[in-house]
Amino acid sequence: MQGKKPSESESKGTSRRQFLKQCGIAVVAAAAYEVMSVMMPGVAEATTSSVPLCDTSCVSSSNQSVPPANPPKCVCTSGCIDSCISGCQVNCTGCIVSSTTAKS
Amino acid sequence: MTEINNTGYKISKHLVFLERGADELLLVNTYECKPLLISRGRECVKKLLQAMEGLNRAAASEKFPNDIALFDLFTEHHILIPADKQECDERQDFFPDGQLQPQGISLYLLLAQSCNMACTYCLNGAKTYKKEKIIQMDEKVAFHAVEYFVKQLVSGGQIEVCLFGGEPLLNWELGKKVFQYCEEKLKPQYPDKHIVYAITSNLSILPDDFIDVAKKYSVSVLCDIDGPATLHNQTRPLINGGPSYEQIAGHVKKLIAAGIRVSLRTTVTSVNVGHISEIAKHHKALKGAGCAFVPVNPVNSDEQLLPDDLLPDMGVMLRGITAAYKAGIWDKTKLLPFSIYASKLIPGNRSVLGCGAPYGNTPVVTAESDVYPCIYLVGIEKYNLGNLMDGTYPKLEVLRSMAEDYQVEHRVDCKNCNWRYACGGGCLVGPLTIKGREDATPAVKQYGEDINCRYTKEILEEILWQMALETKEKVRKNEMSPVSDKGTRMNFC
Repeated sequence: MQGKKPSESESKGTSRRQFLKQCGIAVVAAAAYEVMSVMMPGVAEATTSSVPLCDTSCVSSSNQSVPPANPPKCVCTSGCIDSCISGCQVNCTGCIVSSTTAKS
Repeated sequence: MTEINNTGYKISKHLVFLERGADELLLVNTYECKPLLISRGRECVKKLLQAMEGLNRAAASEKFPNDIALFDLFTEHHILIPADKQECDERQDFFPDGQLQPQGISLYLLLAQSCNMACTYCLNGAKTYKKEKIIQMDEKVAFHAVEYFVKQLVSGGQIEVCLFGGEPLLNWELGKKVFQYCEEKLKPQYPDKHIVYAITSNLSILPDDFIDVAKKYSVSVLCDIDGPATLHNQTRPLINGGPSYEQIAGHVKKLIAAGIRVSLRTTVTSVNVGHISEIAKHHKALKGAGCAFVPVNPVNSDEQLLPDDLLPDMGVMLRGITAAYKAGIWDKTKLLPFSIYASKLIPGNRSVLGCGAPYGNTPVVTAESDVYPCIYLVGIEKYNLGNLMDGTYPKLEVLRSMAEDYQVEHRVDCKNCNWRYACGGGCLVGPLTIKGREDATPAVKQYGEDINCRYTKEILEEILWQMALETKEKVRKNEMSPVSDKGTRMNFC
């Protein structure tokens, strides 16, 4: 049995859902409110990128108590600002994203 | 996927409510860090959240059939959590194996404890840094230190060897030998460990071979430029009192032209606090690799307090760095503090401490081979971690006490704060060096508290809003009808 051909607005809605899902965004809207999940570093990119972006000069001085499910190789949370700027200022977010990506 | 929970849900005790504009709300459980933006309908959503507390999904679905998608978002984002779930990360022992096993180390070698400048806010006290003796580290201490810490690193870990001082270029010959030693001896011996190099220098001097060496070993450079000449020269004069800007800026340009990464930092004081955007642009014009704004440390290593009139106004500073951030002068991954604080907001990242110092991840080795946990604590005897050469390092009890006393669940000023797992309690320098001091003026006490707490919190807030804004723009750019339009009517609002 052939299903109903999706209307233009339905196709648009599907592609938007896919797009937002890829970005890690869920949106719920109603007459009285609109709510959306906020894209966070390491979430959106992890679903779309498979290229390790980790900056090898990034210094890890982890202050984490509980590592994330996929522990990043570099965590840009050095103990003091000087080391961060000298070691991690290239792209902290990218570093963590890529590490997560590499493991996922 | 929606979690099945029959016992109902409660509102997380780590939930932060941030309101902005007429109708926006950002909900963040800082223990999990999956923020939810209410771009419209703030009061309505707040009421719904309160009303949904205690319900399980079935009951929520029955009571709020048009808003069950919202309930699901609350649970997926850990705004509502299972009633029996504990969100606490209290640590009993930070070093259960009785040893340090860092994955990453930033090792500071105080190659020279004296300096050729006389910054008004210098953190190196004359007594503790023994400035009058012009102390320099020798090869034996330096080699032993790098080898010790490389060995201590876990396999696959990374160490940044940072030449520090005083002014490390006053002992540049040793700096070169350290790089060479690491390259020729340690790297072949420990191929599973990564060694990178950095130097924090005032760059008022530049040895002839510096560029070649820095290029050869990919040394990254951090240099303080407190603003254009008129501002910089007020706080960073040469030791003879003369201006230092022209010399330093000239050297910065020379290094950058040669392809060396030079990050520029500003120590924020009352002198330059009103000029932050201007300074950010100035750093950009100098083509720095990154730009950092760091509030001046109010205590030096001799435990002397800075005069009140040198401390920047916290409100002005926060407004200034936020304006520079929003203006997009720098890519936000290259503008500190935002670049570093953003990493605290990675979902799943929980900080029980504000930095890696109490874990022993940022050791500072003095010329006499004493080790301290942080560059701001050098010379303060109670934080001396022992001596590398006589084998008394590491005194784990010092780190243990710092870590246990200052983990967020143990701090009276943090343990009830909803932000605690996002900030980890902020920079410890204020609490460690100012708190409880009878000679500290109310202004310096307030400043110490502010750089520890208010500063961190407001920067995190700004980053969260920025992420929310970016999300909103992404959704708006893809302008179509909402993904879910089930909740077309509200039966609560």
